[in-house]
Amino acid sequence: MGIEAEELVPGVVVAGPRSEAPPEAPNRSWLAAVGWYVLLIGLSLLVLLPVWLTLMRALSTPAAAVKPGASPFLPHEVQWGVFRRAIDQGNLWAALGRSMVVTILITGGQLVTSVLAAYAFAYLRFPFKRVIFALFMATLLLPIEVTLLPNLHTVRDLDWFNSYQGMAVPFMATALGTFLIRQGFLGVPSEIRDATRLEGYGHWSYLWKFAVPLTRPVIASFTVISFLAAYNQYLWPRAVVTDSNNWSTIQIALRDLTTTPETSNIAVAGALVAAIPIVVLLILFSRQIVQGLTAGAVKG
Amino acid sequence: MAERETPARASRLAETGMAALFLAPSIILFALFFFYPFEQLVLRGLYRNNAQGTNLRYVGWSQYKDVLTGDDFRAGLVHSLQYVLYTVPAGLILGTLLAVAAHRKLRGIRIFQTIFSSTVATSVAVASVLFYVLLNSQTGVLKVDWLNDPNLALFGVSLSSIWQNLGLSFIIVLAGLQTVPTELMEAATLDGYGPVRRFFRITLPLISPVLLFLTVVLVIFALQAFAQIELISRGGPAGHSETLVYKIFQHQTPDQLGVGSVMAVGLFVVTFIVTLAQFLLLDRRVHYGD
Amino acid sequence: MAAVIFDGVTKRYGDVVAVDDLDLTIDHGEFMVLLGPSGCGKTTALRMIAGLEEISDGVLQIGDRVVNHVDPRDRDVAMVFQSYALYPHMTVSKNIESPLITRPTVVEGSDQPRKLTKAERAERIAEAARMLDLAPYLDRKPAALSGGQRQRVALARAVVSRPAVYLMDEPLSNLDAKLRAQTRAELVDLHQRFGTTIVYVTHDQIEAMTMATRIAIMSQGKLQQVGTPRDVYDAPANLFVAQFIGTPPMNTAPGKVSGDAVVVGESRFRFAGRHDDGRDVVVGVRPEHLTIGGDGAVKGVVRHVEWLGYEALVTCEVGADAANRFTLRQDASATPPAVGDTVPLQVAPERVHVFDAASTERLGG
Repeated sequence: MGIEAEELVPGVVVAGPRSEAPPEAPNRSWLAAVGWYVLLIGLSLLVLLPVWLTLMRALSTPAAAVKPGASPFLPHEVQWGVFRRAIDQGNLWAALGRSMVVTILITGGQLVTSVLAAYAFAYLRFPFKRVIFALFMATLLLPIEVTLLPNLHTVRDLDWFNSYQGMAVPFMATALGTFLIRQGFLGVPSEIRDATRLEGYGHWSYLWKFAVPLTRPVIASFTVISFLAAYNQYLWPRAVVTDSNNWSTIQIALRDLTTTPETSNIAVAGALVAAIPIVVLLILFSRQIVQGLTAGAVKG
Repeated sequence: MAERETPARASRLAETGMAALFLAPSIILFALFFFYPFEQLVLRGLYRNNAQGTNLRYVGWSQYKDVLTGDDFRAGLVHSLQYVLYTVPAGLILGTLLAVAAHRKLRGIRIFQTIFSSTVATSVAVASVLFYVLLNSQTGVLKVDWLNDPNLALFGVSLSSIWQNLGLSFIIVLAGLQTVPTELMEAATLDGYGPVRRFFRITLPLISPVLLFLTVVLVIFALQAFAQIELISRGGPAGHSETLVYKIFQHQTPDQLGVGSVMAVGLFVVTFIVTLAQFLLLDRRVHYGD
Repeated sequence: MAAVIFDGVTKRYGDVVAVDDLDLTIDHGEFMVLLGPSGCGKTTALRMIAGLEEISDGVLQIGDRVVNHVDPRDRDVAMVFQSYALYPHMTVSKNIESPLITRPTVVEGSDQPRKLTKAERAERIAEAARMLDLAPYLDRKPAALSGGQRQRVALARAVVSRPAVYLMDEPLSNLDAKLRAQTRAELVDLHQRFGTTIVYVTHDQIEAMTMATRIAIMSQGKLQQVGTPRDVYDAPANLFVAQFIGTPPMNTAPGKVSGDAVVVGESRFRFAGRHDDGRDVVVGVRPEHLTIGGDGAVKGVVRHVEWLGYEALVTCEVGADAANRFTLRQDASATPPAVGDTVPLQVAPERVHVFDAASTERLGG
């Protein structure tokens, strides 16, 4: 760059990045890189420390781990059976299965309701559109933490305690999803819609054959964060599951594993099992997760 | 003239009908699980009940006044705000630190980015279990006894949230950093700005909208803290880590419903202020084409 | 196979009139170019033919049919969009097939339109691909094509349903200059081969002049003139048309009617039309009808010389008023004057255009 600029404007000295670096610079930049790696490694260890310490505790025999002088950074009298015990004791496979059912119901429901609503807001003309849209967005002000008590009342009246519908149905509509997918629809060039109108595609076929496929990145990242949120839910399932033996989701099952400090190795093993599906999700869909989580923060 | 306009009006009507059909699932669910309960919440606070939770008596706003000025609600609110104070600045600073560290063209930087964002793979419950084990004095991993100390219990619990939020904070701030044009950095370097000055004079102002967004998200998370409390400290010792949501959860029984409803309205007001800030923020950056 | 007739067609958006009382008959088989600056209403007019805009007032006919309230799909028209509007998630082949899927199509040997069979559709796709040299690309997605190839896919998608009317909205504006010239020739060729009506919107007068059988020039929602490229160039109906068509634009100067002549400064031009003495007019001369030479009654100082290889554009200032600048076109074989020279100017008197100063309309003669 520096050379080009000098050639283009003869006689003008260009400061900044030079083609010839000062002699000590390579050395210094090498040192800076090493310093930066040290910082990065240090921060990585700090981030991973809680997992490492608890993993060591899970693998250790409890009695050996609490002996005076036992380092918390290392395992003591390793016992791999702890995962098996956590799974058996917490009935984790069954809980994981229930979590999956609830999560798929919620995410699937949210996709259907918000794709339809987003389409109406993006493409259809109807009276009171702005008011209705504002009402949709107003639901963002009413998290389950606020509406918990009356919703529990409603679900009790419906006799939906300890049921899949009780855990899933209240969350099947979402303002966030409607908003994001509507933004996606509005991003489809209007000439595409015009072309399909000339070719005879009505709203229904335009929605499924064009609008949805063309908004796939947005829908994909919303799906992933919706899945993440639904799988990680705690408060609501905790409240509507009174028969925890038969209806716990995996998050609630963890609660039953943390009753006594003595069995904390089992609790940690259970927690790590509970995290596995999300770790897989993170590896497979990291781009969508990043896009979903930053959707509100950064434009584009 | 009138005859010619009919088809247009018919198509408008068809469009409205279709919109109604498309919106119906969302509207029904929102009505049933968002607006109706909110109305119930506000109304229920106007009625006192006897010890069995029956015999509702209309008392106007007096129950609101009693609960909102009472010690129980105030303690919950204070604990919730404390939780905000413990987790939000820490989240902002650590998130920015991680993001700045990983926003660099270095070999293998993606590995570090993955590690820094890894805590998004944990749920609140998972993070809480890990910190329950770390902090519990009997398991003794960290060899501290904060959970039994009234002044430190909530702080100890908050460590789990700080840790669990690292991934999200990192991802959001990094996305913000990536929007800062490199030309701007180069221009600042030409102007003789050092790295520290560049960060505070250029980077920080440019990512301030992102940091504002992150602040709001972290505040809302902190106000909604429940699983952490229930799993790590059980609200103890002696109620010293009972946050608002934890208290609301304790007021499920019919005899407590009036008081719990007022507390939930209180939580709503606090959340409302913060969420409104978020919505205005979103509104400013998102174009509403109609 | 149809004419398109606008009868008093108006389009209003609230208080804004986008198309104002448009009367225009586009004959069957014509290549009609709607020409004008952006915001003149040409695209709105085109979109009303397509049925993508509702008509506020007036009657629009395609063939014998009033189509004011006919759904776009039933108008038997095809449109090529400025951005091409290709479906990015579909292959070229699927893109071309798209108009044949839901719409009934007229098939030879029968008056009744019907849906095509799969085999018939495949045949049509192959035919369109052959015609537009797209056969090797049928399985690609639009993103894997060059700009020119995408443009041809858009054309193929229009051709495949053999519509009665083709509508084209600035289809060449996203191509580079070389490809644009080539595609102009191809479009003219396509038009001659099919003999179908084409309505073509552009702001580029070169496209209009080179392809149109007739040009309709619009400004601020109003039709200014309709005519062959020759008509609108040689006899512009008003000052707007005179200055919009032709590069560089026509030179103008204020003048007055005096008997059977028009007086501009020191010069008199014979003017056949009979008009009141003293009437204010605007006199226009195209750059190619202004030359250096003559008796020297009018002198100009050369301010600019643009040498283009095949010709030179010379800008002169006449008199003290800097606004009085005239551009003339000089053959490349002549030696252009130097900047600062004073040169004599002369006008071909039979090539002078006269417009009424108040109404800007052309005055007969």
